[in-house]
Amino acid sequence: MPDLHMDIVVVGASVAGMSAVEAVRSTGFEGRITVVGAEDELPYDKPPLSKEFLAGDVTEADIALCTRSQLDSFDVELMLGAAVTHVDAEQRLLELSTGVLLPYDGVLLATGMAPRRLNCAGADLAGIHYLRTLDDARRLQADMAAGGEMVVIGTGFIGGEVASSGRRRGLDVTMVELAPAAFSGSVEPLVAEALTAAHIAEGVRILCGRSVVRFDGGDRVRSVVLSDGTVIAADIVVVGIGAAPQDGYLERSTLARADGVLCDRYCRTNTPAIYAAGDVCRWYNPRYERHGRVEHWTNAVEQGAQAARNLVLELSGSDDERVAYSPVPYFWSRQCERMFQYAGVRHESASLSLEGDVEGPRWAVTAHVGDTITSAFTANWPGRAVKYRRLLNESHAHEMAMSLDHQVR
Amino acid sequence: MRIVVDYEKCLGYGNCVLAAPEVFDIDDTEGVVSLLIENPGESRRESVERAISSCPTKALSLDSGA
Repeated sequence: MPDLHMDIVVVGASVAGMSAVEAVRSTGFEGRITVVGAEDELPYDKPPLSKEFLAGDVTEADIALCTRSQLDSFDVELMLGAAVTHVDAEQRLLELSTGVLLPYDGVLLATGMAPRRLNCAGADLAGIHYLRTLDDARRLQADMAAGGEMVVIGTGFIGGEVASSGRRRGLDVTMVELAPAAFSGSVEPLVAEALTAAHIAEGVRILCGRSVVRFDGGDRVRSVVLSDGTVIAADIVVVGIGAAPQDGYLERSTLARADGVLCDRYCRTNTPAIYAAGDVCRWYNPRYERHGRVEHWTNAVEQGAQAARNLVLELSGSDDERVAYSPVPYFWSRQCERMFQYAGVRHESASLSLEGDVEGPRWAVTAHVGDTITSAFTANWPGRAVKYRRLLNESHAHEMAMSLDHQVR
Repeated sequence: MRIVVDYEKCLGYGNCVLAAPEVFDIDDTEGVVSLLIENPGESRRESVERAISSCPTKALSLDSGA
């Protein structure tokens, strides 16, 4: 066990970061733990932001990641409203935006991602939203409460969830997609068609094969002009066109990056005692024999915990006891009053098989390469989802993965 | 240990089953968690605790008397 005077700093008061804190304490680590969080908020959960929180079903208190007493029991120092601006691995110091120099023995980086932004004319008008943080969600929710017409740019899962929340609040919703087919960037065509049909049935209008040319309005956005000349009236615009790892603070450091912080199978960076977890981490997943990032809640929790345990083992001089992190990626999405679950990785040459009817109450699509299952997508069928996750966990489909990148859009 | 399930919160995410398949399953009809063992022994504590912390809606807990 590392000695009492060691300092572990978790960068990011995030889902991955707080999971790491819990895991560090569960190892019996008695040194100091500091969590540095760029937002001036107590740690909160992210999935409800685009769903239940926007729809008004839950409050801010409901989505707190931990209670005050849990925070106290973790014996953790929170430095909120402070961003790390540099990691000096030689001096073992973190530079913070507040001017503080924070010494460390071990670090876990869990800084997540930031939304990609549109930079066309009018993109700065009030009423145009991005959704990543609690503060983003507060402002969007306030606009949605006023009602009106909402335009969602991008048909990824975030876009779909926001559109669905908008319909629940009685807003008129139009989705705009650059690709020829909605939802096609994140799932198999069969699934994308089913998602599209579900949204249309809820009253969402979907326009594909068009990009945004500009936003018009005075103080606030009033309309969206598309590449084919279509003009859509808009009181609220939500842009969900993907996100990029938040790792710019490592620019002056010696840490390796490549669309995320590069890590080995133990989630360690190229530098001793510095680990990463969650959306920002591009690590070597031995299951698929390649590097990748996974941008989902379950991964943030599990990777945060595994990376943290490995960090404590390294600090204890027990490197050889560290455990490689080799999950099957998994995510869920709740939209159109349905529960969608996806596990595995996409593969170009997989053959698909459908159980049930995509227009029925529940159905599942599995992808296979040869006899091996590579992914499963289920709608309103948690029993099947978990069955396939167990199968996927048992399979060793490493050479079959087309891409380990699971991107939330 | 006694496991307490808040069925109002469970939406069938299934993370608990992956963490502790000998203790948890998802009921195929209801689409929510079912307990295979309600009072798991100490040897299962680590996997049960992992299951509890992997629940997206905090639907699982241990009876404080346990």
